Amino acid sequence: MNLILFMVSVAGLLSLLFLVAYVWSVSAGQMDDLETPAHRILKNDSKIKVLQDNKGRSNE
Amino acid sequence: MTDCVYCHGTNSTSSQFCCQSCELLYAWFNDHKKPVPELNLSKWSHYQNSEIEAQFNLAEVASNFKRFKFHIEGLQCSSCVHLLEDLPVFEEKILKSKINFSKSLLEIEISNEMNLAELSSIIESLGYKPTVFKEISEYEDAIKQEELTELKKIGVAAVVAANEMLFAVPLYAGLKAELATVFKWISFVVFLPLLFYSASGFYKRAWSGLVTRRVSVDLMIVVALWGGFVLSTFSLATGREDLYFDSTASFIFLILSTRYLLKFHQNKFIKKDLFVDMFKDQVYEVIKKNRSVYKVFSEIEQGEKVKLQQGQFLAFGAKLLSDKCLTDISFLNGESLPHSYYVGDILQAGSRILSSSVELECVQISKDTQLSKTLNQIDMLAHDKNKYQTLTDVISHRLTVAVFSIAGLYFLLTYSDLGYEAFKRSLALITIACPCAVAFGTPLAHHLGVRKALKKGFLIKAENVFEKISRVKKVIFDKTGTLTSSELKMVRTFPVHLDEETKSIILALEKNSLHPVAIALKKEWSDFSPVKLKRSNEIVGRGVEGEYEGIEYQLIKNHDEQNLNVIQVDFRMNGVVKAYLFFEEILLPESRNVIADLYKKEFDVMLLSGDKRSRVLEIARQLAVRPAMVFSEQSFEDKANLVRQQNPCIFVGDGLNDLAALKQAEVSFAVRGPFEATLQVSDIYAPQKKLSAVVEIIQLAEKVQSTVNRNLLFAIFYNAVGGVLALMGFINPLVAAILMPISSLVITLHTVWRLK
Repeated sequence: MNLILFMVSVAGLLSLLFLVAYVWSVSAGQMDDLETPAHRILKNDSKIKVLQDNKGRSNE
Repeated sequence: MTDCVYCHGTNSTSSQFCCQSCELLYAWFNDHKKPVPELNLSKWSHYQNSEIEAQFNLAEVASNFKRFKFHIEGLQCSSCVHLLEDLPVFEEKILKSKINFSKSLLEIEISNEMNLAELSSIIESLGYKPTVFKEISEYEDAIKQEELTELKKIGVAAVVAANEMLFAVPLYAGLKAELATVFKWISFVVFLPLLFYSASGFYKRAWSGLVTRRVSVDLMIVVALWGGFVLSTFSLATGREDLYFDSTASFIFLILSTRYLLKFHQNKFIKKDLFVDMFKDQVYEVIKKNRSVYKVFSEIEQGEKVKLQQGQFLAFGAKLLSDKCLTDISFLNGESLPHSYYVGDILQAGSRILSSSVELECVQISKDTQLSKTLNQIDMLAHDKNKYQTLTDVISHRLTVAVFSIAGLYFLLTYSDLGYEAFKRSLALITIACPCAVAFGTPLAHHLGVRKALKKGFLIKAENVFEKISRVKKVIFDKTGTLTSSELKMVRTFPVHLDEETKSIILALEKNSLHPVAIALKKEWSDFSPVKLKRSNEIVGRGVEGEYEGIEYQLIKNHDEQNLNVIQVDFRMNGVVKAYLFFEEILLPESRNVIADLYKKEFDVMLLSGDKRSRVLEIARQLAVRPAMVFSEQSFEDKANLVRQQNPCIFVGDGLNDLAALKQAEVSFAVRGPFEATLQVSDIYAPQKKLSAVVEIIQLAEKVQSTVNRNLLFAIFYNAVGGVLALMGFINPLVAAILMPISSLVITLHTVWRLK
């Protein structure tokens, strides 16, 4: 019985934690745009990195 | 249609790539050619002025960078995101770039060394159309806040529903004794945030429905929610077994989520002042004591001297100070040919300047112009148009009233015999017959339809458009710019063969002209070079003349063209006609197929135009449209009136000059035009000017509507059977609360399967 009650409270706490995390993410604007990140992930960035490195070096 | 070579996405262009970004990135990765933007600052010169730029700069005063927000037209695929977000990589002065693909917004930060003109030009050189805009309005801000609150409410409802399930399963499995009581009380406490927070929107809407004496679906949801809560709490307090917290919570969560999805789409199209919207990026050069000052349209005062560049729209009434000015007034009357104005003439707001640079004096400020008044009327009409009631609204409203009446009557009549059981059965009826399946099955079907349309490249603003299309059997087309392009084509000459010298002289006469006749001639005879004329000048409103080797030549538009279906131009040598040239408007290649497809679907097709009857009839002949269905010489207002009389109809027009007619139509379909303004007055907008979209959208609407009708039939049948069983006592509120989501699930799956 005690064990079940312990687990119930842990489950309750966990869901509360997720709820807080969710509310925070909504307020922080993570849900504003659900489409662009899916496009961003497809980026072929090896060449860009080289360019960025070159740019960094030239700035030094 | 082939896939794009770079991104492998659908490619509707004739090239190997679906957009310029793919082409540039392909060259960058394969041929090591870094995208180098070509700067064309002349078009954006007004943004070089620091006063103008400051109006759009969203960074705080005295920051060491500038921030701008653009609406970007032309976003196609992932490559567009990659290229635009990589701007800082190949342009050092660009510090940060972030794109919102779903809203087509680009937020960009640049160093103070760069200006807005350069930035706009860079974006344009990559193949996009950037429109910079000022800070977010309070209205948009409020909508965003509302969206955030909605999302939080859904989050809470999800957590509540999941936890209720967690505690309900052991109870269903037969958990007894002390632990069961603890679980039941936890269920009660967990339910409270949903009852008082997540469901608050339903209370507001149900109440406002009651205030306006309308029984809304929300009222039914509130009754089912509170009925379930009161009954469960009563059971909990009296030690009974009937707890409905879990099913009620899932029910509320489902409804909230589907409604959010719908709203998400609707809020994409925010209402704004049409006139401001149309001219917001027009900046004018005002000349004051030989000094140039830049002003936006609303600041220009009467009597001020303004210099306009080629392509600019006039946002105010003005008197021409330059000798001559060629203007495009198709926005005002739809006529495809340009008009010439001479010094002292009055130009109306909405005219577009075609000459390279002209000086004007403002005689009527923007808000007093006819154009501004017309656009205001359109805004007012938009309000009326939203009152349209869909079949689903009607059915769910009637169903709600009927269910409430039956449940109430049943309770009153049987309470003395059945007592507590009477309440349970009435509640079961309300829960099972709640028209939620209808209330979110239809929006879901519409939502999926809208998404499908979006994938094909056209935007649908009003979701009820599918239902409206299914009731319409008439399509009215605007001729100019919709079925035909605004260009002319030379179809024949008389005599058939003209010698080389004649062609060269004609080309020389038209050398400096921007008239469509001149453009068509230059295109047709691109192999010939013009001779050098001794002098050449324009004959007011008629044509051009010039002298070559002592002979006087004239190219004159033949005004006696009432009975001709083409435009005739006479070539005269010393006053004697030597040749005739005939021009025709170019019919878009897809027009014929579209009209033929519409006839196959048994639609009536009508043609509207601002042009002369003979010319419109010729187009009608080519398209096999009956002369009785052709209306010519129609002005801005005539078109709107005619469309109103012909309702219900689909009006297909060009967003530039048909705004009023688009507004009047039962279903309005714009094939191009200024993005936001067009979107506000039209139900459907195909910015890529694909006319075939008309047929595609009709087919899509048929599919969506048949899905909705099947859903409605199913829901009515289900509710009738379920309702009778509930009243007979075969279904208790728990079973009802399980059956209700099942019916919703069936409807949802059916909808998704049909419209995937």
